[in-house]
Amino acid sequence: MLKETTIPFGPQHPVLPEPIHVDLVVEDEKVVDATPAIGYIHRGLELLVEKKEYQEFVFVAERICGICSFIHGMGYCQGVEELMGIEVPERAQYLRTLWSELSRIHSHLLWLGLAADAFGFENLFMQAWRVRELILDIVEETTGGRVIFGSSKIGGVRRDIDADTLARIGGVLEGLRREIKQVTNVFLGDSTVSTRLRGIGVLSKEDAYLLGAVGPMLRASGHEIDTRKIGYAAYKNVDFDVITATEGDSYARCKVRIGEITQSFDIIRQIIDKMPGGPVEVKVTGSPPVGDALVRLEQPRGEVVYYVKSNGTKFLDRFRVRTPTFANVPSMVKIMKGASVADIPTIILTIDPCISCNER
Amino acid sequence: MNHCEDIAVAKIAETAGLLAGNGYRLVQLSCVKGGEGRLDLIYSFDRNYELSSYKLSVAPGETVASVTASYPGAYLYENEIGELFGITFDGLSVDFKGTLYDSLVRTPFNLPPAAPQTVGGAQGASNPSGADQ
Repeated sequence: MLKETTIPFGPQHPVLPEPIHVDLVVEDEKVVDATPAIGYIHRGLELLVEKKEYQEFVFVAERICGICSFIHGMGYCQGVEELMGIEVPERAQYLRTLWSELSRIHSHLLWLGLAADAFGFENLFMQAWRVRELILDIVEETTGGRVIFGSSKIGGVRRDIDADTLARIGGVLEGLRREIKQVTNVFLGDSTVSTRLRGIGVLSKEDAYLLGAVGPMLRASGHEIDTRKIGYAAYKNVDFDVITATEGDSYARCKVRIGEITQSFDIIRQIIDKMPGGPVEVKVTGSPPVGDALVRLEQPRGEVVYYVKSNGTKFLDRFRVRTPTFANVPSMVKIMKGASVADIPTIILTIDPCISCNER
Repeated sequence: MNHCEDIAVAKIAETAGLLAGNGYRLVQLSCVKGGEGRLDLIYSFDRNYELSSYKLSVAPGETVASVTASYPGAYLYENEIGELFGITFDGLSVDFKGTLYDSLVRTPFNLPPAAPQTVGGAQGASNPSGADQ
């Protein structure tokens, strides 16, 4: 009988971008069981909703995570707006969608770089993050911030983008599309990348559904489910296909994310072309009524759920975030079992974990 | 909240089984404090982008049936809620036995009311041996 050893993977590990902790039970080089441990960077952000006025809490929600920042702020705002019955101006909806897609592109490029770094392709890591910087330049120009956009508010957005800037952004993004394609072609075509990713961490279609996987993790296993199809913000006015793959392995998850980068460019093109005029905010006064609301958005990592509960005062009772990483952990544990220890970093990275969100 | 139905605690396992059989996926399971010391569990399921939510009101000390038989991935939610709020789920497929969050404070999201302070209580706490300072 082989001897079992428990190896703590994380929270500090050279390949991990964030402190995820998993105890791996291994027999020789094979993982037979994995136990996640959550909370290393818990900051108590949800409880702060009881201490900060509801309009002020947007700034806290945006700081749940640096990569998913904008969509957290937007999701919180949407939850409160649903509670209060606020109708956000159409232009603000379009701007929110534009920034959401820019967020998605920069998040996927960040992930691409980290994945390349994980299997030692440092040049690809550098190129992916170099192109990402150009996206962040657009974000900084339009919002004032590279990481924390600070553009969401209850009732709309804080900043507008004039027509000239929008047109210029469209041109810049078309140029970037070609640059990103050069990077992603290496990712998809290089034999060393392929060897490290194909057949690794296979998640079956059935398991992906039953274990509650979301986002690229779910779509790479063949499910055509994308929360943007609900039609929140301006997504109801744009055409896009759900990017899927069927193999369910790490390569398939990469392929889905790369496909979504290209798709986000197309969505932004449509947003710029269809951008309506009008105000970007409505005045919000008073306190939310007693009640609760639940909204869903599509983060780069998958479906995120925001629950807000009000007691009728300006301080909310509860703010709960079900992050996509939390939903993907059972699937991650499943695909770790039977994998080689050397493949664990790749497997963890292909679920694109965001521990800041998960452990807020 | 739109499309949220109140159901009895005893009905959740059966409801989850029916929904799983009809192709619904589990979206989320949250816990929030209700009134009078009770805790509300909110289960949300999705099929074809239609969200259906169910709310259970759990009394202090009441056990809730696990839905892991129908939704294997639910063990993470149930372990989390068990550790943070103190709800016991019967039939958990994977039980971390309190090690998922490994919190120093038990049930940190559902703490018992603070004990009333007595005169000299603070001094006694800082000087437990009773020795003069």
